[in-house]
Amino acid sequence: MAVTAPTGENETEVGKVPTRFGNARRIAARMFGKRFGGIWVLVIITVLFSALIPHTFLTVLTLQTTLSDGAVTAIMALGVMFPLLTGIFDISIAWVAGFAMVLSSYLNLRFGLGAIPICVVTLVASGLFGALSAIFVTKLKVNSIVTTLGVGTVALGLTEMITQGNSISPNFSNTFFDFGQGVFLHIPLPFIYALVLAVAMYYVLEYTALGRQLRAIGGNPTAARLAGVQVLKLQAGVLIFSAVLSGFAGLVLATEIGTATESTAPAFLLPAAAAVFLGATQIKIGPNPWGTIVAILLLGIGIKGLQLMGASTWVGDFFNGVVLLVAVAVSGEGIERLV
Amino acid sequence: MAVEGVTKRFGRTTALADFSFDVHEGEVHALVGHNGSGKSTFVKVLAGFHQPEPGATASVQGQPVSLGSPEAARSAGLRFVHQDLGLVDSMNATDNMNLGFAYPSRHFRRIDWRRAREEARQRLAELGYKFDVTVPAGSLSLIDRTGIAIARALKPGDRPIRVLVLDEPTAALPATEVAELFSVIHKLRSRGLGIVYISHHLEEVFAISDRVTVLRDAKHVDTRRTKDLTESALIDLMVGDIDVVGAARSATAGTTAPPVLKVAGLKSALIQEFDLELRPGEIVGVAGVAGSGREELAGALFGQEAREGEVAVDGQIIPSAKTAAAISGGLGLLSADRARTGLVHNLSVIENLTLPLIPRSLGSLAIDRKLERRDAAEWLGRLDIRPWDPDLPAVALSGGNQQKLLLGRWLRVKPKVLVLDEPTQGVDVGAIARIYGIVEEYARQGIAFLVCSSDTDELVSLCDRVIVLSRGRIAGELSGSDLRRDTVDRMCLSY
Repeated sequence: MAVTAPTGENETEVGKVPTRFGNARRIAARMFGKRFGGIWVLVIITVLFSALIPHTFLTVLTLQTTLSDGAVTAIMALGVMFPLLTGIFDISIAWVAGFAMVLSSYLNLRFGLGAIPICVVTLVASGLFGALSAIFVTKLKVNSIVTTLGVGTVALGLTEMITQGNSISPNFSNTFFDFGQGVFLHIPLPFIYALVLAVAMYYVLEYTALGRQLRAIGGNPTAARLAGVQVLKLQAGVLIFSAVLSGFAGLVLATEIGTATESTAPAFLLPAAAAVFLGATQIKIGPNPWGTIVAILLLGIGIKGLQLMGASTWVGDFFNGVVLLVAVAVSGEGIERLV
Repeated sequence: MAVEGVTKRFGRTTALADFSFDVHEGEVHALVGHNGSGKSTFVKVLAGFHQPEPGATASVQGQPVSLGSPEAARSAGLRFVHQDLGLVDSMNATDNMNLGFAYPSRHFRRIDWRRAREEARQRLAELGYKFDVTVPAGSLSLIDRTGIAIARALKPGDRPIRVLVLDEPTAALPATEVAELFSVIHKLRSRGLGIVYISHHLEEVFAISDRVTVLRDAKHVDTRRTKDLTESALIDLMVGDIDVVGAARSATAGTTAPPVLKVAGLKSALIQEFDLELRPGEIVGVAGVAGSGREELAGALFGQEAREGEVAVDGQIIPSAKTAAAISGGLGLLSADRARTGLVHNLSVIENLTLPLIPRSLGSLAIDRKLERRDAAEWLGRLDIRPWDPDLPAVALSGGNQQKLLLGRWLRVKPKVLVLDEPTQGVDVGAIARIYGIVEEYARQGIAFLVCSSDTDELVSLCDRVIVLSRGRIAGELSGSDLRRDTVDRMCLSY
């Protein structure tokens, strides 16, 4: 990218001419800087646990359970990232996922529907929740937290209506169960979905005009609007997107676990939020896909390692919270930069 | 109160030069001056917001007072009602009047709401206001809100109140409510308060004040008894001698081409009626004092908010409140207050530059980075934006460079009509010159510019003709040899 700098009186102020090792030095500084700290911590704890409990930790099974546990969280976290970038908090994700999980199982058990119709209906229904949120946030100008809290609770109510307090065990076909339980090159399929999603989102955010417009809305919605960005339409779009992705997460859960209850999915809200905010301090400041993946791995391996070492189950949430607080404090960024 | 020798400098600019002012008990003393003459600086010095240069003295009732701290101003008995009133709109009158002071309380420090409300009502009634003290201030009319601000300013403390400063209290008040304000002022005057009345509206100055002081270009011009002055004499004092040097632009604008912009019946909150025809290559200015509608015009025309009336570019109607449609219709807006409405602070220089029109690779969703970089090189160079780094966060640029960047953003989308709102506010001299040069160059290429500005000199030097707004309507238009700073200021102030 050779661009010619203007010649003139102020040669000295003209843009930096990289020195011989300048570029390398800059890259090195970044790699060891705060924003890649998470990766280093990830490496360190992996090495640590491998040394301390090699027999239980360094197994394929451990890897697989860690990755599949984290996959659903990752999908939800990635789904909520777009709204977050535009300044919208969507806290309905876990309840919509719960609805999708239960609905898909119910459609199979009650109506014997096949995989494709179930997926279509579930994703569309999930999207409708997003559309509802979109109407409140963009047309009625209601605060996004309040809106998505309301819509999410409605989703929860509908979920409870379907389950009637029971658990639903669907008879999915084997191929459909493979969707959630299958493995590819020893990596659980759900995690592959999360990776593909991360790649796609990274591409959109970094390389497309849409991504830049979303970031603009997050930075200054007034200025973005005056520059011709369709703020309201895009905000509605990202709300629907996160709802559909939550529906997808619900489908994964349904086929992964095999038994749908109303309480399974809602538990993912806090870990997903922790992952997004922790991820916002990594790789790039602000919510970003790869930072979120690093966060998911960090939290997943950390918790798994501690559990294998004998810690009780409550360690999970505790660890999530502590790591998030430490990361945000260490990163030194105020909440405005991270959101 | 008497102050003498107040000087205030900001860097190389002198906002006030050896200014002296006094006000007697029971007197209304008006302070007038054109935009930028130093009025608001003076108020801020009195209020203790700015520290004057050493050498200034002040006294109230003969007792010396130190300038430069809000507490000193307050205990000296000075009270202020500033232009924006400073109310919390979501809270009611009772709260607004008690915030910052102690609420009346009962045992255990519980707020005695009944007493608080009674006191609020009583204080407002003393001034002649009767409205509900329990509704949010934001829902009250402007005159009532002004009442709250005045009542709050006059809240008795342990020191007696001597002087009340009213800064542009009627900027947006309709004429009927101005009369109500005047009866309040009469009441205060009969109580022995000295009142400093700052306003652009000269008819009010003649209606209410006993004396008037004229500030021009940071200096004291004259202080006279109001009844000894006529309107034109006052304007003469404010505006100064005929500006023979006034460099108006040589009118080269293509007068034969059909108009590219037609505005008919534009109406918004402060604008009653505005019509305009702009021809390609013209640079037309809009002048007007605060409250005249000039501050709103740019946004209303572009369609930032909903507006009534018709705006058409090359015959195509521009819908209101749809910014993307306005831009694709050929309209652009370089808005005032770039930090709030122009710059996207989390994006880089190049990202801010290309935001309205991001170049895409053929057939894909991806951004064409090469093309974008070339664009950036072209525009950063053409506008001489420093430091020359497209990836720098845009907020890292200086004010002048930020403004040049935003100008580049708009010129890049090749609008037919570009509206500039306060284009050189907070911009250094070098960048100002460059911006003017660019505007003239692109006007020669056929873009029509509408420049809304509070800086008369800017309008005179840059524009072919200047439209003057007053009270929401067009008061007149000046061009050619009639287009000078004194004539524009005069027309802005006339009624």
